[in-house]
Amino acid sequence: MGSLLDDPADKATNPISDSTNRVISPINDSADKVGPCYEPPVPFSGSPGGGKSGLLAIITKELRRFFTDRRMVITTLLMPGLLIYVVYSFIGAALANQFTVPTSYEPKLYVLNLPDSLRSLVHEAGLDLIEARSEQVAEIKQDIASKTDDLLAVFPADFDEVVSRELNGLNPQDPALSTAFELPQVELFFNSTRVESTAAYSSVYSLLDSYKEAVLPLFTVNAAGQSYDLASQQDKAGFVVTSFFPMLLMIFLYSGCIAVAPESIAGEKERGTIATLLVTPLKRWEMALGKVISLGMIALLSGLSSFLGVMLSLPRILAVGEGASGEGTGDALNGSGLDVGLYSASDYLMLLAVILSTVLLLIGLISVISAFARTVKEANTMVMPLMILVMLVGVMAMFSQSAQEQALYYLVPGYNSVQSMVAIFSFTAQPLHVTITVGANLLITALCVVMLTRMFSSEKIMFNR
Amino acid sequence: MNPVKVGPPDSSQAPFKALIAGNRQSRACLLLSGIVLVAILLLRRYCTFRRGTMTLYVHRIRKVSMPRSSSHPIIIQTQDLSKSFKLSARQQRLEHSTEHVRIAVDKLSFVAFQGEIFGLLGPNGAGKTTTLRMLATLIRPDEGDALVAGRSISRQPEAVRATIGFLTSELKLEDFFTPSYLFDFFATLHGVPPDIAAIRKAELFKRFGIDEFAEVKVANLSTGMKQKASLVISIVHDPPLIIFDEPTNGLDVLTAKVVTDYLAELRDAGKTIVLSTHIFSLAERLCDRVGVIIDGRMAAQGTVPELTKGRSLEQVFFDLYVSVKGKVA
Repeated sequence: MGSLLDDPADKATNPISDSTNRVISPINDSADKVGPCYEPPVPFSGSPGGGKSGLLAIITKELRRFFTDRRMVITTLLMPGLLIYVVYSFIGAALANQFTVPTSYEPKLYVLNLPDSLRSLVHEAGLDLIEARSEQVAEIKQDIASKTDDLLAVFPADFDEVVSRELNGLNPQDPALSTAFELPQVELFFNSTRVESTAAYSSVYSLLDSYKEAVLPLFTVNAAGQSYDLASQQDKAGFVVTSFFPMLLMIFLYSGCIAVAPESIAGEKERGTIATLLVTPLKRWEMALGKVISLGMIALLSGLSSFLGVMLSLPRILAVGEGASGEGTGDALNGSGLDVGLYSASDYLMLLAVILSTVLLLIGLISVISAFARTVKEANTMVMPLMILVMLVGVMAMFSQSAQEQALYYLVPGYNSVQSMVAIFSFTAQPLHVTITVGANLLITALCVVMLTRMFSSEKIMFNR
Repeated sequence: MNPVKVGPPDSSQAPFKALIAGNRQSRACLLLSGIVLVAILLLRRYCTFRRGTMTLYVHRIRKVSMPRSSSHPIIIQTQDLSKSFKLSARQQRLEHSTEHVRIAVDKLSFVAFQGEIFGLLGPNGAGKTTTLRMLATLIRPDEGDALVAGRSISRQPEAVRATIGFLTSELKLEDFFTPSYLFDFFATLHGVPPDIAAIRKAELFKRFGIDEFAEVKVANLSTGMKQKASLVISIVHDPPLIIFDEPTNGLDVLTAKVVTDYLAELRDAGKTIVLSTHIFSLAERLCDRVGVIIDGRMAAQGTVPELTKGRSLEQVFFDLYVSVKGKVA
């Protein structure tokens, strides 16, 4: 029976309230004390209005509950960000260790029949090749397999002769070139499960490759020393950020919500403190809205803490990619990916609006689910399907090529948030889509508040055990 | 690796202009959401109206002649209050019962007069707590209605809640907060101005010895102190009517005496108190009038002398019980 349900017309047409609504003051009307029902003067208006509304009182109480509890602040605000930062940085460092060869390491490289033409190149590249004898080959292969040696390069004994003879006077354009003659074959033996061995393999391979290009220049690829990647700095940043951030943001916002909402609603039900509120003249909608707003604020902070942890540790994680491949994501990120200045103020404003509406949406949904549950534990179980949905829309963003262009899709709560984030991060956001997203999310939140109001009014939901 | 399609950054485009100049589909989209919004609002209006009409039919109170106390006006009048609960399969098994519905309160009618202590007396499970919870608007009656200080519990629950102070052991205070903070919080909810709340807090906390523990978290208070804090907070708004479920449950004799003395004091100050108890001595000592509830029905009501006629209240109860149930279980 919240005020939402009280229809003024109902009172006006009701004969009972007409006859009983007048308040008889015992002082002014002492002769007429015996009536159908005595209405004593109520000392206070009954509706919270002493300068502070019931809504504000609820919000203040919830925030006070959270922020004066040191343990809660630590576990929901500090820990997530800190843990993520520490764990991610650790993973980043560990991965980096795994994929890079220490500079002090001296690989054990063997070579059989090293051609004279290559000696100077090898020397220039700083590779220290140990000349092996042919009877050692089997033994060295064995050592490579058992990870004590790193590489064995086997050249044909007459490598230089064959190369010069085959090339002499030949027209490089002749299509029969590759099949007409037996080409000399170089064999590189290595162990792919050993990082040092793999590194040695790739450096020797690229050395031979450039030698091949030098002796037989059919054509060159990207040899002019200029930048061939035509993606703009914005694209590079958008690319990296788009694939990771929407999902991460959704998950962290969700975990922020899940940390506070079941505790505050199912927990109050479980402990019986919600009934104490229900016997006050506090309106049910004030209670529902107050909870959603205050929990939303806390969840937002918690989500931002996690997000900060990711932002700070992301360069470390992505640096690994650079170490391994030298180009691609790591490069893009190192170049400008985290240059937050690339995004304009309106991008940030839109992002903020999307995040805010998403938090309210999630809090609204989780609150309604929690109000159904009898205990916090039950509530946490009941919200699992919601978590799966949140993960799903996040993962979808990771694999989608670009944001949705159909306006209708932005009416789907949750999905619209992710798509809006993708669009904002990739600089393709349309204000209309963001507006629809925020509007749809707020509408669902409003429905959740209405539903929560009803649930707070329902004795079945509030008192059933 | 997913290439990202890139358009020109949209920051230059004014959002409003984009909204107006959006393509047909976008406009249709906005229109659709608008229609949904209006539909929801209309539906709400309709539902409220229908619900109001229904309430009007269900909860009309018939004009009946009620016993009148010589000098005091009626403050609570219940008319055929009924409440039943569905029994879950587990509850049925536990109670070896095949009934699906348990009638907790069965057409209960009684009156309480202003300025008295009215006691609902009865064994466990008789329906006392259910009745009080209906009066406090925590649950709704299936049938019947009650006027509490002139306000209908089914149609004006908020007005009822503003008038009463309700206290039961089921209503807990949040462990994390201090009595002092909770007093202020509930004062705000009841619309008590802060200056008046501060005066009342000082008075009541001193009266019940809570002042020393005012800043101690409720979780760390003793059971008795918790109960006293609950009592004080339930009357933060100085209600003319106090509904109290089992006031001395779980209290030692000293704390129980503090509470019952205070209830008598409130009565002498012109407040009305409705309480439930299964302790006959308490009812005899404290109550002006009692109603005896057996199996959700009012077996007898009247002033204590009217009912006892020289016998003990306990003896009267046994006689009533035998006449209703045939034998004392």
